[in-house]
Amino acid sequence: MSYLGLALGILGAALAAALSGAGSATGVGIVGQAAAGVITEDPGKFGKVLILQILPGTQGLYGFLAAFMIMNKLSPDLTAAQGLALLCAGLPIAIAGYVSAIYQGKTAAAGCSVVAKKPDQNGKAIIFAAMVETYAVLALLVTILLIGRV
Amino acid sequence: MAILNMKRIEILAMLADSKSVVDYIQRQGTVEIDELREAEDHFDRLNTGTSVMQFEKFQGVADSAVAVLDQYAPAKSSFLDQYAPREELPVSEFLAKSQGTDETLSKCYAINSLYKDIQDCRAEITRCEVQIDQLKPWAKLDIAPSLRETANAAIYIGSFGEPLDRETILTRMAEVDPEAEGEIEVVESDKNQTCIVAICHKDNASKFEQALRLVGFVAFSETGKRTPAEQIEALNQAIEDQRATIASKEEEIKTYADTRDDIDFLKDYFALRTDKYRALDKVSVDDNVFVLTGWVAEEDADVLKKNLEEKFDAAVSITDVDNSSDEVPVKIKNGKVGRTLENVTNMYSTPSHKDLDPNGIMKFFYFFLFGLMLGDAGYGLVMILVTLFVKLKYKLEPQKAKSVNYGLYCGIGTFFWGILQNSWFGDLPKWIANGLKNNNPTDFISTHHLYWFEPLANNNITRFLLLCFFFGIIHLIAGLIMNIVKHVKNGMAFEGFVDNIPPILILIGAIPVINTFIGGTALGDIPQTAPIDAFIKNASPVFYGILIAGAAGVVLGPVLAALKGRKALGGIIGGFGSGLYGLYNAASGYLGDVLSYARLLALGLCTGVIASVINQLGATPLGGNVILFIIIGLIGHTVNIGINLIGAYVHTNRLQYVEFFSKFYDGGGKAFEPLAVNTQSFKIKEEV
Repeated sequence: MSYLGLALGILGAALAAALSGAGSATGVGIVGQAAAGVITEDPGKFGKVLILQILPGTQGLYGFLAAFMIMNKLSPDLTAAQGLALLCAGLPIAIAGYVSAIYQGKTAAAGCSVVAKKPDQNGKAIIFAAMVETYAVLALLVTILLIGRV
Repeated sequence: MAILNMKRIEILAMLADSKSVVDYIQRQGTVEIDELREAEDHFDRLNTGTSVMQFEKFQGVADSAVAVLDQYAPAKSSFLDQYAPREELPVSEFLAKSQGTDETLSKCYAINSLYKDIQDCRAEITRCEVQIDQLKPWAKLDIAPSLRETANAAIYIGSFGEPLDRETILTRMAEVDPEAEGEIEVVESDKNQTCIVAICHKDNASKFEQALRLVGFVAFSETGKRTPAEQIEALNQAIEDQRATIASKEEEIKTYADTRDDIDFLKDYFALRTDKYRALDKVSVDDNVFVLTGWVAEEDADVLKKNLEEKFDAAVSITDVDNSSDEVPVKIKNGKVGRTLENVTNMYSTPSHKDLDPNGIMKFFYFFLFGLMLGDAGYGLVMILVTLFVKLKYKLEPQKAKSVNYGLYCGIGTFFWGILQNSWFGDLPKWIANGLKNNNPTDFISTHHLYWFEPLANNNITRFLLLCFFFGIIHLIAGLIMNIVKHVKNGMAFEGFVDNIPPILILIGAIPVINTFIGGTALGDIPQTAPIDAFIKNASPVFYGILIAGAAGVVLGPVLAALKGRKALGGIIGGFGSGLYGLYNAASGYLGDVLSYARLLALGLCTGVIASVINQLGATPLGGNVILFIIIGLIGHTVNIGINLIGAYVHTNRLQYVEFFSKFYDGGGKAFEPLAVNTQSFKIKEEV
């Protein structure tokens, strides 16, 4: 039982990286499909849709960042309570990252059709997608602050 | 940093000069031409629609010729070539070159017709291949499909739609009609069909044929005089011939490779003429004179008037107009730094004459915030070196200089913040100082503490976060001040002050609240940030006073507005109510705005952490092998810089658009689109 704290901490890091990574993978995938459709019509729009496609990828980075910060706290001496605290600290970015990445992907995919029809309006399409990300940023913020308190 | 004042220009000149006047205006590129406002009966319009269509058609021909050349004789070009300046062409040389456009156009037609031949050949090959597929099951048939009879025998060639053998067919026929006698040979049988040749005596032919059909026989549609094998061979030969034709046509296209420059000129030439004739379409003419009207910026107007009147027999009048009308096009002018942000602003919306041009104020924040989000001195240095290289290699034209300088300034911001945060390709200096064994801070920068503070060390994240919020507050206040200036400019000073001063006060007053509740003792704990903390703590009574004043201002603002409007008592009480509601809105709205600046921290940390992990991956698992460390570093840092550049770009824009612009900027203006020389490959140089 003495390593329970360490195990819980590892679980926290794993969840943060895995869930937000899974969300980002889904989101980036959704946009990629829409972006490929745009490219078949006009390959010149590659740069514009690529930016849209990368947008839902940041949640994966946030999860990675949170996992990294939890890992810095890991040691065999962690008590079970500390480990559980680290696990809980990782949950905001894990859950909000997963959900927001998918919805950001859907928003960015809709943005691809904006680029297809009105390429000069792509700035607005980017902003719609960036709006979703705010909540991943806030979740990451909470995760980071919580890790700091453990 | 300004939106230029626009004036109406009216040019009256001899009809004979019309084309040269328009040419001149086009080369100056300072006038947006529109139609004559006042309906004047005796003026006609030059109808140039047919010419424009003709030019557009020719341009299409040139475009498709270039597309064909790109496919068969691609021009060598590198990524950097897009920054190469256009070839300069004096006007006289341009005119001389224009003589050759007919010849170039006929070459374009030739290229396109060669390409059409190639497509025809491809279609023919596909047709032959389909025929071969149909004939393949019959390859073993050793008589011509057209053979239907001999002296005494009738011959039937055809197929059944299922796999069958000779016995089955004969048995089935005997079941249908026992008298249907004849012989059957199976040519080919697969799971879809069975190809057969059936033969019988002519006397028995009708019974035999009927029996055949009753068991599912379908006659072979091919009636050639040659055996299928011979036909397949002929078709294969035809395919070979078509391929040879394609190859020779492709070679012929390649011989046109060196006309590419001429075609580029042709495209520019037609683009130029299309624009010109579109402009001519808006010109009013009578038998002797023509009138051209349009918009010109105040600062260009006098020079243009003087030059036009000197060069031509023209009368030019410049008139003032009310710029607040929506129909007035918007031309903006910015300094060297502000100009680079025009693309960012235009992506949101073109400023209108009621707006302030935001580029001037944005330049103080944009590169600062961008740098904070990317925040690595190594990456900043890469951006600076790449953009400087492009700047030195090519003499950049204004539009391209804009985007290259944008990159340069973003690089400088990134470099600046990287130094402050001790991030040089992540923690690369530490690994190098320790011979790739570990990243203990024994390097020169760390031992001499040549930085402000490292966000990832100790409790620095909270400090960093506080600073992000404070930067955000300054950014938001700048937006609100811009809104006051804008209201004053539009003659609504009272509304400007009443609406914007209270939130400014609330934002200032919130600084010690944020410092205490989120930061705790964070800023006070390390010497680098202690002065900030001390300042906030010492001045906190002032801050709280400001906060209360701001809250009071939000509540009382609508009351003041009601008083100013000389409303009755009910209106004043209503104003008080809406003020309270406004306080709630302001508090929640600005809280969200300030929190949004947390993305500065999130993105900044991401870059640094991933960069450090790349270094660690290159060093420790591979036992400090220098070559592998360099390879992994090159690949990893290239990917990291790419991803985070896009992240920083998107989120800096977001902070500008959503948090900053929402405070004062409406946009929606009509961009100034002057008649100008919009050429791709050549730049026409005015001879003095």
